[in-house]
Formats: sequence, C-alpha cells, structure tokens
Amino acid sequence: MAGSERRRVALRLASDATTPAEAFSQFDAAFARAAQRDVTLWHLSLAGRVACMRVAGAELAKSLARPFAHLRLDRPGRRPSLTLDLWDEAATGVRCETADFGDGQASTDGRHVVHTRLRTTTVLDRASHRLVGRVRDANALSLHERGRPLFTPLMLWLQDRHVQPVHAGLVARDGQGILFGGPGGSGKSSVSLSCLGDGFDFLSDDYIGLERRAEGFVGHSVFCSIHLDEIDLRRYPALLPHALVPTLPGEDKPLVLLSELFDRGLAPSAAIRAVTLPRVTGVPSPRLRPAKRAEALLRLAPSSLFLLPYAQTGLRALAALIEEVPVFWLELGDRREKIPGVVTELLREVT
Amino acid sequence: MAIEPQERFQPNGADIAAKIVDGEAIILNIASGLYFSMGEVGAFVWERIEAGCSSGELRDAVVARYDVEAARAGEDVATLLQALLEEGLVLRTEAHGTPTTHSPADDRLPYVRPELHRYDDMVELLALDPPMPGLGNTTWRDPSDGE
Repeated sequence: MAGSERRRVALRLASDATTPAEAFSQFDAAFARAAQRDVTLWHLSLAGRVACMRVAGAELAKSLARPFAHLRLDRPGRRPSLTLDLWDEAATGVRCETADFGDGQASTDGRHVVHTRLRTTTVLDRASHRLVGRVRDANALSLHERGRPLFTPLMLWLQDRHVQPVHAGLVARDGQGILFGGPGGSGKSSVSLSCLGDGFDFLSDDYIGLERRAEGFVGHSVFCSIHLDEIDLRRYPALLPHALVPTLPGEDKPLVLLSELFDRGLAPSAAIRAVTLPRVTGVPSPRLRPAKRAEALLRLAPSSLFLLPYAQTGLRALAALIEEVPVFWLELGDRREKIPGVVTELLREVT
Repeated sequence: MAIEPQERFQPNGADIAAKIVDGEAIILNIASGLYFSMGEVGAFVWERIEAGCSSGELRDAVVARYDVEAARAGEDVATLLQALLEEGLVLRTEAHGTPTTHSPADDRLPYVRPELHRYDDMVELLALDPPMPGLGNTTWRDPSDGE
C-alpha cells in the first residue's frame, strides 16, 4: 500500500457506534474490575511532571517498571499530571473487546485517542489526563513493548505539554548535555553507550522530550533502555547476560534495560548545550566538523516528526534548538573508545 | 498543465511542514513520508509562495534579487512550481497575497537554478512502523493548559 493511501486509511475520525470515548469508558470499567485483585502503584517524574502508574498484574507491573525505573519518585510531592492505568488481560482474566480501531483512532474533537501496538491497546483522555490500557499477556511482550512501552500515547501527552519528542540520543555531565541526532543506524546508540561507559549520565539513545525553558533548551529522558548492535555487545560483554534477544519478526537488535545494570548514571533531564549529528565514515578516529543548520534540521526532523502528529510545531521547535546551540557532524569510524574524549572536549568548549 | 504567470499557489495545508533555516528550505510531506530541501533561490521562492505571489510575481522577485534574465527565471520558476505541485507540496489557489513591487537591485546576488531535492528514506521505515492516527487536522486544547 502506498504511503499516502496507508495514511488515509489510518485517518479515521470516529463518527459511529463505538467511539474512542466509549472505548475509554469500557477500558476504565475493565481496569476497575482488574484492579480489585492486585494493583501495584508508583509515581515517576516525566519531563518534570508527576505521573502515577497503576498496574493490575504482577508481571506487567515488573515489566513496566524497568524502562522507567530511573524516573521513579519516592514521594510524588504533588498531584499527578498524568495517571496511567494498565491491566494484564491474561493475568487478571479481565477481558475487554472494543471495535476495531486499526492502529489507532482519535475522537472528532481529538480528546480521546485510541492506539494499538502489537499486544498493547491504550486510550488516552487528554482532558482528564488519564491513560487506560490493556496488555494481552505480559509474558508475551515484544522488545518494543518492554523497552519503550506506551511510546505513542506518552509522546502525544508530552506534545500536549509543549515537550517535543525528538529522535536523538542524549548524554550529560553535571546536568549539561550533548544531543546526538539522526536517523536509525547513524550511530546514536553506540555513541550514547560509549559515553555512559566513560562516566557520562545517560538520558537516551533513541527519543527525548525537548522543552524550551527560560534558561534554554532541556532534554528529558523517557526510557532507560538501549538497543545494541553486535559490535557494542562484543565491546561491552557485561551487557550480554542482560540483553533481551529479538524473537518477533521485525525485531533486529537486542535490548538492554539499563536500570538493571546501573543505579547511577541515568539522569531524568539535562540542559542541551550542543547538537551533534553522528554518521559512520571511514575516519580513523572520531572527529567533529561544523554542520550547517539546514543540514542539522534535515538530519533531525524526518525521523523525529513523521511518526507523530503536529509536525509543523515540531519543526519549529527543532529549528529553534539548532538556532540556539552549536551543531556539528560527529564523524565515526572504528575507534569507538575515542568517542567519549571527543564529546568531553566538546562539552568543555560549549559550557 | 502549464504554469501561467497569473496563477497563484499555496502550501498544501496540514500535510506540509516547512521551515527556512539560514536561507535553505526544509519541507516535510507528512502524507507521503517524503521530505525535501531547496537551496537559497528555492527557499526565496517558497517564502513568496507563502506570501501569495503569482508565478509571474515570483519570476519578477527572482529577477530583482538575483543576477538572472527574466526568461530564464520564468522558466526555472515554472519548473520548480511544477515539481512542487507534483510532490503535493503546493496547491493552486484563487487567494491573493500582498506582493510588493520589485526593482532590480544594483548588486544582485549570483543566481543558481532552484532545485527541489527529494528524500525517500523514511517511506520504507514508515511502512514498517505506522505513524500515529491522524491528529493533524484535529485541534484540541486542554482547558487547563499552562501546566
């Protein structure tokens, strides 16, 4: 199916019987039934906002806790800005079938958004700041559902808070960060991992939330998971026992949940002081080259904006970022052990 | 269909996200998964499309700013407009903008034929990982916005 046709199929605004709003009500009632037996509750800080996660099903609770472990709050401190209620259908025996919304559907006013990815279906109510979701079986989750759960509705919620999802890695020292932007395969994960191994704080190898504040741009971590290639796994053998191997079609890289290895070095947020654009070249050692701002936008924008709505807003946010901070090509070769030194030197220059 | 000098165009609404940075235009076609770039002259033309200039007015603006003859500028603008139409980046429109009169500058800038560079590397990826359900046309504002 051609891309434009696929999108026209996906763009189905509800107008008849079972609507996203009705789906939300149905899921809400189902969660209430599932939560009667066994609920795990915790709070986390998501882009500086408090979120409350309530999960029915012990295995699902464990699975959802891991990628967000670095954001966990001992005490919420204030009322949650978002409540996430999820239940494991297999564990609780609570089933809830709705109409087929395909990959997803929004209500005509945009308030309720249904989204399905593999075995997880969620409905986000943007007015009540509540997400209710069903997972078919926590023992049969994909790597994506383990490493980046609830990705799409969470990114939408962040966008509603003027926090722009960006396809980028981010590392930091003392709260000062360097962003690695670019499409899949450009080297973001390898660079982020190299820096983590050298004592940088890790915030992301894949997606961050970009927020403009009075003091400048801030990058927020969402997931502390990382996809690794074979070279990285050989270079860091300590990660091997923790690598979740691909099992489903379409999964190609093992996943590691860093919270299982590091109780430090996983930061929730950092100021962004420079943008680098990793690309694999034949250079003997990694090096930085000044990049044109248009090159940076061309590199950052497509993989950041195509998967999510409100692309015009996102493009403006990315343009504002690259107009405010210096941008560089980060040329990579085989000498990955030298990457942290280059990034350290850059951080010294820009802070 | 040939481009006539009096014809006007506009960016293709919610399907397009565009930004000019340091004189270069970056355009995303959200519907197709394709994205594009244009150098200085193309970005200059795009800005004036957004302002509502007709094809003839675009040509005149290019001639005023860049060291190029009107005939060549007219041909290149028409070619660019055709490409923008074919890629779904602009639509023909009846609306009128507020164009300004152009007098050739004394020191016109060097001219380079405007080209629309097309990138399709995202299309296959998007087929494997479908995007969010279409919310681009639905505006929703949280009554408690500001948190």
